[in-house]
Amino acid sequence: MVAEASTISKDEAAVYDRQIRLWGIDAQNKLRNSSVLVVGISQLGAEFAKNITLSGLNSLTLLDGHVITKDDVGHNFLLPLTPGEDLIGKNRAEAAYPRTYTLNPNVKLTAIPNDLETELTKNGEDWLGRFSLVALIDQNYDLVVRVNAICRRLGVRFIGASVFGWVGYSFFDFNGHQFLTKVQNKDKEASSTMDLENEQGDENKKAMTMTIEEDQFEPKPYFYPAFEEAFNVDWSQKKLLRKCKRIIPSSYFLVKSILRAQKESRFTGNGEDADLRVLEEIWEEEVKNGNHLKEQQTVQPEKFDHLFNPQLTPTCAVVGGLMGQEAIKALSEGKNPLRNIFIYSALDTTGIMCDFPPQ
Amino acid sequence: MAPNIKRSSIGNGNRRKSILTREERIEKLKAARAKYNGRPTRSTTAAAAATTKASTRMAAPASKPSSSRDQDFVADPAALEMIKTGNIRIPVNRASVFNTRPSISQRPSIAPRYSVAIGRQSIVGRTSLAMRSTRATVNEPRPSLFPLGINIFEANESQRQQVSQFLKNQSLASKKGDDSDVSVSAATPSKFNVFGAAQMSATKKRTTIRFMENVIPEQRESHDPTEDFEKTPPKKHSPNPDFVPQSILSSMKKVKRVVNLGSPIEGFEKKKKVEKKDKSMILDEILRLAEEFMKADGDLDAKCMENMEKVEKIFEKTRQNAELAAAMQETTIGSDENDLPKMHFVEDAPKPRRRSNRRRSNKQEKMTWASKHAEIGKAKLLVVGAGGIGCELLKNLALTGFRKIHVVDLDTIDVSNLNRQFLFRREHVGQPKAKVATEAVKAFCPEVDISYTHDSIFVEQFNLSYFSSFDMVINALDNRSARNHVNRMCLSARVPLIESGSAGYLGQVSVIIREKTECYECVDKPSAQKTYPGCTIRNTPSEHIHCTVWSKHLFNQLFGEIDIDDDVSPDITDKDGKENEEEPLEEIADKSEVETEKAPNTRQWAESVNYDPIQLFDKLFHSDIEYLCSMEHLWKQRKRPESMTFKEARVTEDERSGKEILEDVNNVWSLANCSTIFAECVEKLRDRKNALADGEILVWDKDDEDAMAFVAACANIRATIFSIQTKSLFEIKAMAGNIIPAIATTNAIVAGMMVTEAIKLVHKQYDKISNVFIAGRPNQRGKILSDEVPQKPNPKCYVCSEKRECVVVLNPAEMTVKGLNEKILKSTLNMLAPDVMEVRTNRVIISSEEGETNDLELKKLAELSIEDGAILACDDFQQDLELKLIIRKSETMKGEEFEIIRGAKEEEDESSRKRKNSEAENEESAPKKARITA
Repeated sequence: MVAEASTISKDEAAVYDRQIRLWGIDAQNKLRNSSVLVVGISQLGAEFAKNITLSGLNSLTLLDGHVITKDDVGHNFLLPLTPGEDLIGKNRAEAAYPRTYTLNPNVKLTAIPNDLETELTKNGEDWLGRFSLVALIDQNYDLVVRVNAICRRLGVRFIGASVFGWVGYSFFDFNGHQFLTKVQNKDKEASSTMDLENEQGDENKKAMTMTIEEDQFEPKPYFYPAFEEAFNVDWSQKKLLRKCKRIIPSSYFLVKSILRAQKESRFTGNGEDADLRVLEEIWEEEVKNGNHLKEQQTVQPEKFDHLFNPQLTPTCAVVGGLMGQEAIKALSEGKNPLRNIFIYSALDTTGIMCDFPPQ
Repeated sequence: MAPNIKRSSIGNGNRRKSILTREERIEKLKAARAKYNGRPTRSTTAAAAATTKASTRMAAPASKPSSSRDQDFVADPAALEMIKTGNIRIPVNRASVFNTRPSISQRPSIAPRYSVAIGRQSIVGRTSLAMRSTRATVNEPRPSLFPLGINIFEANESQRQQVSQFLKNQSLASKKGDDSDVSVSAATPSKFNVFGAAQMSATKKRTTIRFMENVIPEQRESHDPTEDFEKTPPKKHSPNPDFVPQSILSSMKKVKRVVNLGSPIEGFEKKKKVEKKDKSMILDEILRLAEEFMKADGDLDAKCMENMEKVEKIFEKTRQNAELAAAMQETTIGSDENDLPKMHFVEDAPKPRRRSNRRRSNKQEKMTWASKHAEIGKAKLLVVGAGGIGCELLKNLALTGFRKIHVVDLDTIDVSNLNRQFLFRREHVGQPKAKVATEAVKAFCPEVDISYTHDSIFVEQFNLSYFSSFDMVINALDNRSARNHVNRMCLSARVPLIESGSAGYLGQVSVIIREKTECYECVDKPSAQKTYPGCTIRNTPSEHIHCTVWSKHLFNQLFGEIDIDDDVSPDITDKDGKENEEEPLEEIADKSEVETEKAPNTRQWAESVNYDPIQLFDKLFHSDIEYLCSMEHLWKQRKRPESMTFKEARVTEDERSGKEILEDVNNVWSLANCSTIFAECVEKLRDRKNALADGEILVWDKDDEDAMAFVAACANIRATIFSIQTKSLFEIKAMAGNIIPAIATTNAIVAGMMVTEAIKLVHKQYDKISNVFIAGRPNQRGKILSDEVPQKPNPKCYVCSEKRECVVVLNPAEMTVKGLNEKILKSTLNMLAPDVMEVRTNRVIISSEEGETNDLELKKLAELSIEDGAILACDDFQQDLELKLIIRKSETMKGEEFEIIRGAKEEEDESSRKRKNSEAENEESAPKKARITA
């Protein structure tokens, strides 16, 4: 702790004061040595990039081949509107660069105005190995599956996330990476509330219970399933049949249906009536596969237009906030990782963490 | 038009007879009230003209209209004289005419509320609203006597004529042809008011406003009293046209203010330009009329009557316009941005009007879900706070499509904000948060009409009418007193409130809608600042925090404001471990008396040695500790502390310079280091204190390097003495400064969830609103954001229920009036400027008017005969909050100690809490943590 403390300058310590008080100087130093690649600077991408930059990384790379359209402008806080300058037609990663930089000048920032596929072809897949974490945001299904596989092979932390209108998800794969885990034999009552307080009031607790030993934590590797595996659980298995009602949230079927439609390339891409019908059809199937009743779903097909663009800002904020938090946890080898699919739906105000396939 | 009641318009014909004593009058009123059994429907009225009419009518039921119409009245000669000479002085027991305050006392219950129609919509009092369903008449006894024996403000037309005629006759008979005689006719209350306000500086603004509410209706013809009871309230957001006229008339001074303040508020409305023009014409006209009142001589009566008629016509016209506008508003989509107020707008923000138009038309081409949510752009939002949550919130609101936002924030940007308040950059440090945030939002979303005020939400500008001009208020605050205040304002103004909070990884959002949900103060929150028993701090610390608290107290004893409750010397009365097991309350208490006679206080002692660090050190850490050691009973089951002298402290190890030590924030200082810092800081602080003007003192602040280092050093020295593990400056700063860790991601999630709720409020989906918490871990069903249906309001809440009362346990022989005001009413109950009256004697013991009750400040409550069972009616005009405080005596409590118990009847209520006066909260206060972790 003594040696590491010197790695953070007094200047940085002043900026990061409030978060160091939460996750400690060790965690801050680990963040300071992390490099993150963000692919896709959509509204959700902007949220994530913001959260992770503010935390104090070593470097951040924005990668996006997307050319800015009218729909982006005024919906993305990383794209400033300077008078007399038209953003439309510019590359999104490059346009987001100046504002991202000002969020935290301590972070080395790079913008790559290319698609990830192009970049992978150019540099080779192992290029991703230089990052501590790769986040694919609002990218297509096949690319997510492919990059997830590469990251697993290279031992790079992976996050895949998307917001579909009012509903969004993020998928975490920190396979083989370490998190602080409570040493078991010490404390009998390992309730979640206790953990919470520990994170918050470590210091106070230590003082209060001089005679009692503090909770012991040690780094322990966690294992995660791949994207394909997590999103393609066979719910008809006997051991899962009865659990389905409890463990699958209603919002899951919305996300899963859209992912499947993407995978099977069944959307026209405009959110028009045809797409709505396709979605309804797939959704009905998925609900049935998940052993749920269509009638009991909190969101019914008449709201399905809310599952297409534009992205709803609150959904982006919530999903971007939670994935940012999990990314920070992973990079700093913190405590209590949440696993492995998070779904937020502003349609029924639910934010649920799934652990698929169920353990 | 719905009926609307004003507190001051509670009329009753009985008052016409001056021969009635007050008691008789109250009896009559009670009887009348019983007859009507309750209060009438109250609503947020659109047209104030209607409001005023209604109040006239409300006056009627209490009286028996026909009975005394032709009766003569007897004028009070003294009063008449006063009026004639224009030198009006109010007899103390009749202050009620000019001041609303005494009215509280006259009512058997302080429950009834009133409405003040000074805003776009009339702001209505709590109880009457709460009792909407019961539909009763407000017939609270309010014998506001007018000197003439007839209350001209509540008199009907014929009465006024009587008065007018009478006065004329009198005037003619006695002082014929005396032009300078400014006789006030009963028929011209407005004139009276104008003069009254000008002449009696003590008359409060609120009184004046009240007057006007009474005045205006009186100019109208009488109505059938029952007519209004059954009407349903009009649309909530329709403009209230009398906002300006009423305020305008209230006083000449007021006129100017309203013109200034009124337009930005009003301007938030989308209005037809015609209407706006109308309004300014009305303003001009009324101004002119008011001036005429001031200048006029000769037959004022006639002139006033004439002018009042004119004003009345204007009102009528305005009302019609407003109705028209309201009707049009229903059907209009989109707004004219030019019509919006330009208050503090960012000057250099780009205005890509053409581009935005183009974009808009493009959006229209493509049908998305967004077209179903056009209402979002129309809602007017007040955002309170532009800090951690505030920055995220403003970004979310703007990008979601909210277009009319006003931000209020008092704070300026600090370096430690930059890790999460992403709208700010390093070069903004020191600038107002509200300003920078507004500019930053404009930069990525020029379409939003966002304005700001860099000021406290407590200032008078943000009054009820201001709050009621918004569709929704969103809190992104960091302290409880501001939260309480906004809660009260929103309840009174009937504006939905979205409340938020975050601490570390935890966060929460709750929605507060009056009568539908729990309000912010319905349940006790665990005190943000933990308090510790005095004896633990002074005699037997067992944790580092005890030493830290002691050191902060020491700072105040030496350099800051001395609080007798925070003494630092050994508490010799500590009975701990002694035969009798007293309740802890007593232990905390014993202090001043014994000590003051025994020894000079710490400050005096320190001054006597000119703050010599070594002598100070030896007293605090040697002789005082030795003294403690001599209190044998304390150490039977504890480890005895080991005293040390300055010399002894310095025997150990290294000798770094003070500067080097201070740089070392993260490591624990050695004892020698601590003594070095102690000596240096004492000298620095002494010099700083001596440099101050007389009467000024130092204020402890965690960001003040000397003050912080002093506390850290003292705390560690004391910890060493008591064998407690020492800590680093970084750690001690967190404890001493009550720093709550804060991160961007939690705030982002909270702000996102807030906007989700805001969208529901825009669509009035009140059945769908939810309170959401970020849980530390997913629950069984995987919920990490756990949502719950908001609780129903607590029927015993002292803020939002009908029964606004709470019991306060204190020792009347020791609690001073000042203590009651500062520690209980202001610090704990969060009132701003309370007026307090003892109900039985009607004695005003605390006045919000500067200096009015100065002589009582230092009196003990017992000296004012406020003993067990006394009831204090506390009224905060600004918050529109009346509260009944029931005194419960505790002989064991010492000094200004007290305990507040919710709900009058159940004193043993488990929600009762003990509150020793504690340091004010700073930093982001924890949200309802108990509920999150539960």
